[in-house]
Amino acid sequence: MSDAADILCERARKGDLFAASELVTLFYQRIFGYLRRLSGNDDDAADLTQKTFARTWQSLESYKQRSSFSTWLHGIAHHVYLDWRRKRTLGDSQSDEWWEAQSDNTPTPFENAAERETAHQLYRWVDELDEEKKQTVHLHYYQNLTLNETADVLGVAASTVKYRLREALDYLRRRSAETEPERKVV
Amino acid sequence: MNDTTIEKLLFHAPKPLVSPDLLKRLQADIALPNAKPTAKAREGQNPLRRWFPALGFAVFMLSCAIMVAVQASWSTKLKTENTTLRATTADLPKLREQHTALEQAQGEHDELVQLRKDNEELHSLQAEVAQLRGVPEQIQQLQLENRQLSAAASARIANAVSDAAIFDEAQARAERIQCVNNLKQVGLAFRIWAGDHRDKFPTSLVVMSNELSTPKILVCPSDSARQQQYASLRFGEFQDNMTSYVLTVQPDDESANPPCIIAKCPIHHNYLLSDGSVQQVNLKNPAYREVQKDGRWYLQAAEPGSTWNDAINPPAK
Repeated sequence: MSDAADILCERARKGDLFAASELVTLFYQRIFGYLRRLSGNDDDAADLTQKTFARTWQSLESYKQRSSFSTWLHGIAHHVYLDWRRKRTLGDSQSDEWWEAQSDNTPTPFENAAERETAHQLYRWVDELDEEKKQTVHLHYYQNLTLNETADVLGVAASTVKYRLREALDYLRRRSAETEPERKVV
Repeated sequence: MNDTTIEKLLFHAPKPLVSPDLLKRLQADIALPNAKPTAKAREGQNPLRRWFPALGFAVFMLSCAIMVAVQASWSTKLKTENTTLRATTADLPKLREQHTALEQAQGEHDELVQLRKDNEELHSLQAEVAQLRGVPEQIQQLQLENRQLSAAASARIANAVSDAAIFDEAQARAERIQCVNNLKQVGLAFRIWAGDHRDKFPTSLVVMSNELSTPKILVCPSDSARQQQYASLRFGEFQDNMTSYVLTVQPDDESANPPCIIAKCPIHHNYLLSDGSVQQVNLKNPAYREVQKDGRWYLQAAEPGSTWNDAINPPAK
């Protein structure tokens, strides 16, 4: 997909609207998902997605293809989200109902209700992480970006990404260990 | 949960549902810097502009077809003309022969015309020669006439010479008569002046200016030198020495005395006598001669056969 996206990007740079439309079709769901998980509601996510693509078209001439188009697009979305977050001092976190609704409507690998509940709990713990770790987890795990791609999006070194992920996993594991005795007791 | 389970759960996090309108909105918001118009955008444009390339090509092809048709028409016409000309050129050798024969005939005709002209010219020349043959006789006649005319002319010239002599003679005679007339007027003036001065004659001509009409009569017409100098003068300017006549009057002469000479013309030998008459003396055969008595001059009858010199200087007795 990366090669196809680069070809479409090159055509879009030459003014091909059809190629730009194809790029939107390819990436709008991932960007919307990324921004939806971060922003906490559909309307803001839709607005941020529109802003992301608008800034993408504006910056298309300056795209040097040092990274993949997907990485570059996620970087723009990341900065759009940061700008939006600076204006909104108080961030909304996803409610449990939203995660449950998403799990109900989306096919998941979880077979039983216990696993689903564990997953919901895990996603809530992720939201409890500090902003840098949360961003790293979202990009690497939710958006399926590689370590290097995540590092490019965040503008940090890959080792920093590894460190943040390690910290996040340790936190999640500790939180999980804290809740398991309660479940066993229950 | 171990790390593997956590990562597995995180990788399989549910994906948010996207609003179906979002894709349309995002596609509608695409604003590329070097955007080319899409098919939808092109629909809003002028259909003529949209179809201009096709129309231009169609017009070009149509014009090409018209050109081809026109050229085909010209080609057909040229072919037809070519066929006609080829059919015509089949008779070309014959036409050339006819043309050659015509040119020859034309040349002969021209030559004939030239010959006719030459013939006419020859005839005219012959006529001229015939005329010219009579010319020597005419020349002889003309020479004869010329001689006669020359003789007549020479005779006329001789006559003219004699006429000149006659004219000169007449002129001299007229001048002589005029001189006589002058002396008669002078004599009349003498007598009038004497009538006013107790019959005494004046010894000057200028004093008789009232009796003389003009000083012109005091100059003899044959005295050309005095005529040029004094004939036009008035009495105020005239003097006695300017007259042509010689005054022989004496201071005590009276009109009652026997007629003596009171004036004479030395050119014509005309003599004014105190009685007012004028006597003419022919020098070749003089009838009178001058005689001086008592200081006065008189005319006396001359002897027959004597000459003027004899009359002037008579032989001493």
